[in-house]
Amino acid sequence: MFWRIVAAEIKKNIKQFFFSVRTLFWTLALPLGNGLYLYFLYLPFAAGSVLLEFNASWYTLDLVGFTLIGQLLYTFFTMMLLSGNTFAREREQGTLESLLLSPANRVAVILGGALASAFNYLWFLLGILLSWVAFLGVKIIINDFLALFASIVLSYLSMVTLGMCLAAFFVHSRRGIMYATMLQEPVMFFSGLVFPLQAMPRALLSFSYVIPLTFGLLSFRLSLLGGAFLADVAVPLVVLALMTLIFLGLAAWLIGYVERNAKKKATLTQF
Amino acid sequence: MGNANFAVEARQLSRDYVSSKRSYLIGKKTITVIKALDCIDFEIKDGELFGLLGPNGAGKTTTVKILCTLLEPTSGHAFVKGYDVVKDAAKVRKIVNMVAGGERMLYYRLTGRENLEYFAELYDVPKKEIASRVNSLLELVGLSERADDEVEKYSKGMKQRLQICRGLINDPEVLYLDEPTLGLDVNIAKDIRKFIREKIVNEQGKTVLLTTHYMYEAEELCDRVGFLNKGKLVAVGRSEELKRKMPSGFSMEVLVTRLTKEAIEGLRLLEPVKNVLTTAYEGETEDEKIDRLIINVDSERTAPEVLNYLSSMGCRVISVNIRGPTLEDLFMFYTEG
Amino acid sequence: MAPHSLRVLAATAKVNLIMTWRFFSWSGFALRFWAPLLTLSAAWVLYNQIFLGTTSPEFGTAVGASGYLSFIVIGNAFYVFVFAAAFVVGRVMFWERASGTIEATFMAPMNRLAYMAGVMTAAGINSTIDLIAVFLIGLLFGFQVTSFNVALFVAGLLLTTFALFGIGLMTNAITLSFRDRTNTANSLMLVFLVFSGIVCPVELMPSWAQMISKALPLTYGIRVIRASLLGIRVQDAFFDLAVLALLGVIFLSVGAVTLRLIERNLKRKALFTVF
Repeated sequence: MFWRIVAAEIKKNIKQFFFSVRTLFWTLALPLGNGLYLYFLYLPFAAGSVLLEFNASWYTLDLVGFTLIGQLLYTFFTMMLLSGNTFAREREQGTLESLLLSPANRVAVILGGALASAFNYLWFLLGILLSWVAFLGVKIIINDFLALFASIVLSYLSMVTLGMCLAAFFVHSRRGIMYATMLQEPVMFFSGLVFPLQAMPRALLSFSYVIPLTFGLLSFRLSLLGGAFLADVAVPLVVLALMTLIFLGLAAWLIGYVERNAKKKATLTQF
Repeated sequence: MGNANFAVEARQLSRDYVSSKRSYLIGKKTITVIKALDCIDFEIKDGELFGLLGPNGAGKTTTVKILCTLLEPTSGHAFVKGYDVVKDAAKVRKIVNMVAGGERMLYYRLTGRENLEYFAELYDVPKKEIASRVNSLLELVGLSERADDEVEKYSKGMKQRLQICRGLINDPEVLYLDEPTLGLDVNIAKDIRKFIREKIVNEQGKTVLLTTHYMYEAEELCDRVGFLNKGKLVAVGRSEELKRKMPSGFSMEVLVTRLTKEAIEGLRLLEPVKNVLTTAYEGETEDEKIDRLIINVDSERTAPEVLNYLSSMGCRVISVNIRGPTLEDLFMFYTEG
Repeated sequence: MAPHSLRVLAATAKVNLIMTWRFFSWSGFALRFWAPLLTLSAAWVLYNQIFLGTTSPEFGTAVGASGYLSFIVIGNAFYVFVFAAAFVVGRVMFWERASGTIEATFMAPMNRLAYMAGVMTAAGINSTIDLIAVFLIGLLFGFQVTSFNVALFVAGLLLTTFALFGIGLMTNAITLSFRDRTNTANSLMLVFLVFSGIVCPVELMPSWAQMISKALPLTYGIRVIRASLLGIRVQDAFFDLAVLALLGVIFLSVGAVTLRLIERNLKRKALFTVF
């Protein structure tokens, strides 16, 4: 029953999201545009590459790759942040009530919604990597495919489970989408998306370390653009795995708690 | 230009809905055309309360949307006070308004009063009249005390009453009521019906087009009715005239149990019986399912013959009611044959 | 504008402001400070920590002595102003349809442009607050107004709003027609924002990007604003104003026609309530 609901949610979300070829196209164009924005941010400094320091080693990363590939992961992360928006839409349409009326396991519903994003993630990876590498000549250096694969999978899992926590919270909050939007900017700043993390003031680094995107960006950039091996990115990968487990547990608890609270305050259907 | 003697006119009005579907995003495209309205003709006189009846999907809401300029007909014409709903849409909008059932057409984050004031501006109600008009409308529907609460905090009945206020804010000459009592409590629905008849039509002399599938509502309110079925207008006229056109003058409403197909077929073959309709009955005995038969007969005197036949076929008759045909009988006659 | 149209404009602006502030209230207001604060912080870190306070000679030539951070603050403020204004207008009909109020609103005998202008007015008021917020935050990062030309500043902002209005009207058509919610509209907004010189002078962009920039009204708008506050290339500002006005007229004309066509299309295809 649990996996039936997950499968049903995945099918519903994919059908609602990917109902036109245009959507597929713009799903690629949006991160490309945002990536260009980041790239243009570096133009006043005439920089062709970015120096990234990690674990006492320095890596020279192609600027285009640094900004565009970073944007790829950030876009997926914001999708997870805004995954609660699908429930805001359900509320607008009046379908949230029918969803909550059913005996469907809430964790299954939210997990299904989050896993539907796997389709988007794959689309990003294949579409963007192939097209950008092919047409924009992004210089990639891969020495260890296992490191790259682990970065992709663990980044995805950590962000999906975080998205589940947020969805559980936002489904019962009218201001959910606003809070999610408020989180986007801090994530952009603290995760090392815009600039390499060694430039972050020391006092602020602790904020960086609670965001899964920070470790995702590190491991992804290093393994794709910097030729890092599995041992070089072991630390961020382990952190991503731990975050996944913590977020998963938190999501399961949060789902029940928030719903009970919303029923007490009669906010389930206000929008 | 239409005939200005009529408040509303439809001439060979048609509307098709075209939908296209592509399989798997890039597969073959299939196009489906649904004829929601098929060359309908009718008129409504000034000050008349006209009921447009029909089952779900008959085309009632489509007709209303065309008449209030929200939808263009595929072919044919519609006029309101002589103005074409397509070519003179701007003029039509000044003199009509619509109240729909359900909970749409209101800004939930605004208060009841703010909603009405806003729509008053959109309808160019004279500025000095807005406050008094809003207050009197709210009082009329009993919402004065909650006027300054946000609409999202209103109950369903309150939202519907506010909708009526919104529908009257511009003092329209023609008012469309699209299932206005849908989903409301019995007593609130009754009050709204009374309000429609007494205030809107009798006192204010407005022309009203009411769509509903509650037959008793149409029976209670309408001067004339039109029956829509699958996009076609199958009958128009005063209820009494249409009832006289029924195959027979009386209806027997019989509640039975143990009804069989053979019994119904045999009943249809009896000479005094002109028509037999069956519907489900909302109550059940502890053991058996109850069916409701509407049997059209020439005369009340043939009732014993009918009842004897049913008993001989093993049916158990629970109750019998002999009456003249109702609007519901007419509805079923025209829509189910 | 006819008296009724002015009333429609005023009433629509009023209800939109009520709905924005009633829903978002103080936490929404805080959001307006939060986002620009972090964006400017990122720019500050990039400039001071990564590149140690130096920019390329080409940048210096393009912007003169005004400095990188002032350049970025104005770009950011303009970004926030543009996004809020055009985005709101660009999706208003979509929002009305989603809320179920589009029929009630469009059944009314109101001038549609006046209604849209009311939405724009409310959005413009909110965006102006955002603009001021970014300038205030920019002061923390060393933003300096080196020469304030009030007339040029007001003219630039008004003409940009004028052009944005037209862009918003056209975006409505896309948002409603394509049924992919606001993805297409967002993507188009991104084109305007990436290529308008928000974060780097147009002269430093690749040549293909410069060609795109020249067709965008916002490119000229931001140049006028920078000229009015930093004294950068004031001699070109009048030409930029003229181009901005011309582009505004074109976009507004196309937008007005598009609005009529959208409504006609919705009525023909029975899409007023399909969402």
